[in-house]
Amino acid sequence: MVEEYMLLANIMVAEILYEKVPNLAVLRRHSNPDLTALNNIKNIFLKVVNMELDMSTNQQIS
Amino acid sequence: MNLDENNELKITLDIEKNREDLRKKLIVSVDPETAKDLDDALSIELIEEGVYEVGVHIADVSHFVKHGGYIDSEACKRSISYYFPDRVFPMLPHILCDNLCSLNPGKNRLAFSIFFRMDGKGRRIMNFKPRLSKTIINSACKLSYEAAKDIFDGKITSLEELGPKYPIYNGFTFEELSSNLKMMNFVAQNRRKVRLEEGSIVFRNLEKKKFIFNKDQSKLLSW
Repeated sequence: MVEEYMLLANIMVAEILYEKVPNLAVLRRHSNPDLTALNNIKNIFLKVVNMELDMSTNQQIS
Repeated sequence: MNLDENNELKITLDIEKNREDLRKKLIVSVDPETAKDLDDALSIELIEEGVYEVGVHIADVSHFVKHGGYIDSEACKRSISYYFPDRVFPMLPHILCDNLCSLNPGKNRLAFSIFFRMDGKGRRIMNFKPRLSKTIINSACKLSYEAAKDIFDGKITSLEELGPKYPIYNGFTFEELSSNLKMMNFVAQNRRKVRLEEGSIVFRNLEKKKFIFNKDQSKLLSW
């Protein structure tokens, strides 16, 4: 429960900072993963633990 | 620093006129059993059917630590508090971490608060802009995760069952505490569902790693 509220508070503070001081707000965002690297991981998992990973979307991974 | 004769934080007129007074609001902290530095506390209010106003209150360290001052520059060097099994090296002086900037129950504390509204399905109510405020709070109860969970789950249903470990301050009843906690949990669990449906990643098995040292701490025995 606490985790959910801390996440929400962080998200909203980030939005407020981005709106009020856009020149100071550090927007840290993960870009999409490198496809070659992603495929390598997929192959390693397949070889080592014989596990098929579906990494097409965030949702699939989680 | 403004402390009274009992070494308690003195709420001066100057502080009072610059801050929203939430000392009468039911606010609780929920932390690990052994926590001493209580950084955050929560409150909730049912505004109308299906509209919940949540308050997240964070200790306002900036009231005590001035930008660029000695404590600030030392804290910059330390960056984080180091928690060892038998001791802590805090980022800030003990009097701040465990006392003045710890949102202890029954104590007047300075906080930075954000208020936002959620609906009963765990979605943010976007047409209500989150509101930020410098506040004075006085937490009604310091709960452990276990105690809070037992209250949600209906395993603790009275002041007697809650026990003397978790006293309730400021004249609130167990029923008020319990119904607020249940409301907070209800909204949070629905919010969690929404968040996970949106594709947030859950990290499993993030249990605490324990490092065991020999007696004089010169050798790492296991981890």
